[in-house]
Amino acid sequence: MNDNQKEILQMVADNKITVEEAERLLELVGKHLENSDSDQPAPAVGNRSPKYLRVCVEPGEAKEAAGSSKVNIRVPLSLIRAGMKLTSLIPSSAVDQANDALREKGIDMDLNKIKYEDLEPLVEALSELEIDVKDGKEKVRVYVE
Amino acid sequence: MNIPPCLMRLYIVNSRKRLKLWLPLFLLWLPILLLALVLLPLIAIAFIVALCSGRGRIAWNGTTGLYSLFCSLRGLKLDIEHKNERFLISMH
Repeated sequence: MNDNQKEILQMVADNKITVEEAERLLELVGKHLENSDSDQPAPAVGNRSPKYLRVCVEPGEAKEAAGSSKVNIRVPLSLIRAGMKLTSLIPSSAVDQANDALREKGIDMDLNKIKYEDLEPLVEALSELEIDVKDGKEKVRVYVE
Repeated sequence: MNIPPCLMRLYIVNSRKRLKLWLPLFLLWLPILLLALVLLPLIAIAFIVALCSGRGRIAWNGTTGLYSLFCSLRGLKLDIEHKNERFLISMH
């Protein structure tokens, strides 16, 4: 029994949810566990470090006739690493300008704080990332491989 | 060891033009190497000037960084299709 299942049972005990609701939740958690077990890659594959960042946009069935774009981008992570090394050459005034431009777009981020040393943990964390967005118009997938 | 890209695939397809190219970049390696050898004295002088002005580290980091950036282009792929138009650039 995992933490989620214990939590659901605790919610029943606390009368926060009904037995029927708990049953449905436990079913969902069970399905999720089954999927995560079957999705686990072979150990050799799992230990391999990711090499590429992939962004795929495919038109959905409803919009396909209207001619949505199809995008397939593969960016080597080594390119990001090499680019990060070059950031040390960018003058601080240019970085400040970039920060201002980002802030104007509503992205409050300080590019001075992004260091090359922080990149490796970020890349490692990316290996577990998979964004899958589907709506009627488009299907977007962002993942590393 | 960093190896620069050997091949570049470029597709530009639209209603006006249809360009499908495989560019053998490895054929450029030898001329670039020869050019670098010819320019070596000038490059060496530029490095010495940079060292004297205290910018030697920046010059070195910039040169090696650009080379590794160029080598990292291997595997890059941009493929965009819209209706009957397609743009593809792929480095191998």
